[in-house]
Amino acid sequence: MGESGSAVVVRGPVPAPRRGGGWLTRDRVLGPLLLAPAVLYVFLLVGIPLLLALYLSVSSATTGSPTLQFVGLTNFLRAVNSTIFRSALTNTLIFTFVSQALVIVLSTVLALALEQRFPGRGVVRFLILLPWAAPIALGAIGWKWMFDSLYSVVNWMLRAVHILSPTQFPQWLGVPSLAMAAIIIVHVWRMLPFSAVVILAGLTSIPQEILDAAAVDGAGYVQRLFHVILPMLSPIALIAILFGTVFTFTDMGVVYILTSGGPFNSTHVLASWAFQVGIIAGDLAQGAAVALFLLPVLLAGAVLMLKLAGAAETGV
Amino acid sequence: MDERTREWVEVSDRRWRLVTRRQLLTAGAAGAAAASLLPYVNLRAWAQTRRLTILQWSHFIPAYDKWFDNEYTKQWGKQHDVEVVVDHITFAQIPARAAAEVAARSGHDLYQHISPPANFEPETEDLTDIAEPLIKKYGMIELSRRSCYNPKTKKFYGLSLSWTPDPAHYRKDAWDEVGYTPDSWDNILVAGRKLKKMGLPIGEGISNDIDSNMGMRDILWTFGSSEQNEAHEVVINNKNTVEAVKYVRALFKEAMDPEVLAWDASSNNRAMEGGKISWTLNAISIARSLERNNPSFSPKVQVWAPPRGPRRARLGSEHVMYVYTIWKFLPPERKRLAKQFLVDFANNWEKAFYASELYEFPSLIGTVPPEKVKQALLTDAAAHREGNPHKYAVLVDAPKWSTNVGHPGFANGAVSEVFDTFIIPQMFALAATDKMSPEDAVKWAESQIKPIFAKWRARGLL
Amino acid sequence: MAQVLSVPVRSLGASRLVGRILLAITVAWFVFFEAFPFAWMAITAFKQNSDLYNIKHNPFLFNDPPTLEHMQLLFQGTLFPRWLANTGLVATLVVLITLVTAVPAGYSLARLTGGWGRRVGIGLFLTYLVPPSLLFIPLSRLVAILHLQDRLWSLVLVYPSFTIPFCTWLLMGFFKSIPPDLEEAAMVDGCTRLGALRHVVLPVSVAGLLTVVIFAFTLSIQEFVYALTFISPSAQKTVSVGVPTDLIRGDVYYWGSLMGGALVASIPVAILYSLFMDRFIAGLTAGALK
Repeated sequence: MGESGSAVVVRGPVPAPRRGGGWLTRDRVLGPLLLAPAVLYVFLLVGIPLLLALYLSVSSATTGSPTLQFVGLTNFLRAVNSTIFRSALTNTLIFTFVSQALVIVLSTVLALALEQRFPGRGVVRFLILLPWAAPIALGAIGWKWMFDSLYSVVNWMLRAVHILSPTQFPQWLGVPSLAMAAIIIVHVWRMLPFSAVVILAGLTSIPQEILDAAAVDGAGYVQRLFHVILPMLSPIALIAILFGTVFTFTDMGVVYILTSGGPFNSTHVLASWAFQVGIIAGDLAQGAAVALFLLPVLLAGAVLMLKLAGAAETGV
Repeated sequence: MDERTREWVEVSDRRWRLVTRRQLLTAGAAGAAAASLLPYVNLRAWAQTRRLTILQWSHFIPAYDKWFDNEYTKQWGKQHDVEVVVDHITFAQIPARAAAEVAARSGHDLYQHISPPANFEPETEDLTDIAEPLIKKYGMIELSRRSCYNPKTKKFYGLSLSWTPDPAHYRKDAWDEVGYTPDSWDNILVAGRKLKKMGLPIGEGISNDIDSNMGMRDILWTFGSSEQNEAHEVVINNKNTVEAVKYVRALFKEAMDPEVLAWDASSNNRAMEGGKISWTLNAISIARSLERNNPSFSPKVQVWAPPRGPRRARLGSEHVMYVYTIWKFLPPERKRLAKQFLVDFANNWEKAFYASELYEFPSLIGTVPPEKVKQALLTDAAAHREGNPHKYAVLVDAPKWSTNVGHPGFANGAVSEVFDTFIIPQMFALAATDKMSPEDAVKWAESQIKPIFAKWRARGLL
Repeated sequence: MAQVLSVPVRSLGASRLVGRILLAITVAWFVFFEAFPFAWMAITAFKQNSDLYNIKHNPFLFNDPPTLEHMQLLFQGTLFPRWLANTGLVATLVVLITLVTAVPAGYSLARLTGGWGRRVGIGLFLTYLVPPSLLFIPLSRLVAILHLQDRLWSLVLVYPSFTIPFCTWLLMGFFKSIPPDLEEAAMVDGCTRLGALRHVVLPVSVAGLLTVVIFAFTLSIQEFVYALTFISPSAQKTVSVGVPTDLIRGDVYYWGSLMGGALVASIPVAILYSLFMDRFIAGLTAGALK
């Protein structure tokens, strides 16, 4: 292998690969060949079902009679006219962006802290990783128990530190605003470890020389943080945000288990409402329309973010 | 034995082979290796026996599952030379799994639903050929018939063998203190005000949950209104509904705690068992849990019928309506077997009645004659232990004061969809929390319900 | 390892102390937020029901003596150990499939394809925009056609569909950050492209591979919609499906056992991850990616 240590590899003139029929053709064939299994897998198991879901959304299928009768955009129109759908749409956006904003800030702080050497760091890392390791179906049930309408330990603790008076017992899952806060808390709780690890990886890959150079130039800690570290973190942070956003956007587990979309359907997100309408209530076509409603918007948004990530990557 | 002598060894049921010692040892090693992988390999394809697969919910009474899985189905299987496999699923996931089986065109032979599976009608086998003889023989209570029969298509899309009533549980000690019985909704409001001041509010959920769906419908019906009429037209927007909504708003503000908006199916259980509420509607799971977990507190909690309303005598929804369906797309041989199991189960259903500890009531009247039901209720061991032999007496008339979802009409896909999107509890909640006026809340509910009915009518199932 | 917070030696002891205190507070708060639910699960799992369902009791004290009955119900009354094994097996196999598919794909996107490769990469990523809450319907049909219904193999087949895209992406990024010179040098020395991948690139990308492993493993154990709809026999269930099915009966939640199950399912995995994290960071410290 090359040299060890922290030497920066100097990119000199790259020796040209051997030309001639052998190499070039191999690469041109090899590229798609190596890519093929992944693409095939995704195409068969996601692409085709997606096309089917698209067709469902313009049909009148139910779970009880999956016959595909074309009805045009009726399902989409019906969705737009539904108050619950509109609130689900807003909720999805709020939950995703608020929780992701919190996650990125908090995980950066956490990563900065975890980088330090301190006694018990191994144990701390283990404890921090627990939420990411817990199956969400079980972790969410745990939070449900913590927010329980009668036995909530969260309320008990808040009372114990006198943030709540002895007569107050907020219904975390029964009041729309608190329920939304609860859902955001659980999303943040769950995504924080992963984001922190990703950012930690980014932190550790910042070359020491650059930091030393900045320190020598007289930059204080805060200046180093904002002018050197955070910019250099941005490509990897962008990846973390991108993934976190998409993941939260399409997640129904937390909402479904914590509040079932309640109180009175006010905390549904698109994914959970799609499940409720499409599967539980049986209107498959309507559920498909709800789930796919934002696809064009998401597509555009994701393409944009990916272009940004690519630009940031090459810019560093 | 030495290397060469051969011995007879039984290799499977009633089949023998002559093997040498070496063969025996290698077979043993291979067998051990295979056995470790066994759980992950499907041997079904090599088996010769017939198979029947049943999907049931995880019963509230664990002993029932043990009885059904390990005793009844095993005995039936032995008698008919069939391997019976029973899988379990949590009740909330029943629709999801059913949808998957329909999409997959493959699934369990017998599928147990706990609410009328009207929306699956196009995919379920018509069970008229077994239902009608059974009904002729035993008679079927009306609310069960309306939960598995479609009068428009004249099809039994499923067969109900049992259901669970939804009586009220109340704190007799507290109610005696305020001097009322929970016999009418009016009483519940009047006494509820006093009880709330005593720290024991009424506990009727107004949330996205099955209990709330049932309880709110009880109020709707006894106030003289309903979602649909007998002709299955949407009739919810009328002054009786508005009156019911106003009543619930008053009940919520004056006699209940706001937490009822957050309740799931287990919340009222725990609230009553924890001594926090004075009245709720629920199947007897509360009483049974208390008898088991808190025998000193249990006598304070008594059972009563659902309340009377201003316009109609007491009416409670069924809490659970067990309906078995058979998928149409299964091979005919398996459908035949499934039907046979159902018929035999119906004829033996009395055993299930006792195994369920009185949680399940017979849909087919004759399977457990009313006198036997009455006797079981009045001689219940737990009730006697508490010195209250009449604890469950009110359930004797349960078929009289219970009805199906969709009252006064039949259960159908539209009603199920309204049920599964929690429109009724939401209507009440919107008004109770002053997010809408009662009139607007009712109008909103109508605007949500009407398109659903139109959809189902267009499918020809209504 | 880059010490981004390294304080110049000349700084005063006081500000160093302040820094350490701030660090301690920060770490303590995060640990509390992330790990408290598990502490709570642990307490609940061993409390008697009469103690648990009593609003007058201090929830953190064992007012009645602790009990093993919830854990007994969990381990002996349900197939919990079997579910754990199932979950582990599925996750391991899915990780293997993901590695085998995503490593070549990531390499291909990083080195061997140009513009159209970028577009394919974007396309792969966009598959995340479709919620599984819907996809399971058409997938049920596929699973049934392949006779995989009610078997763990259905999950082994389907799960890579959501692990491969992001892992491909991740690996693409990792491979791109490795200077191509290393492989060029190897190929000049007579290595084939694939050989270069195997002997030069992979050893250097251990960190990336570990990330992929952890990520794919996590997604596999978290998933429950497919697990629920494809598998119904109790012995074939994963832990996310089995625990709620057997411990939520009608309207009765067996909170003690539920919390015990959540705890036991999470701890071994978290231990594994934190061990991997050490390797992961050690691998970076060795200087491979500078």
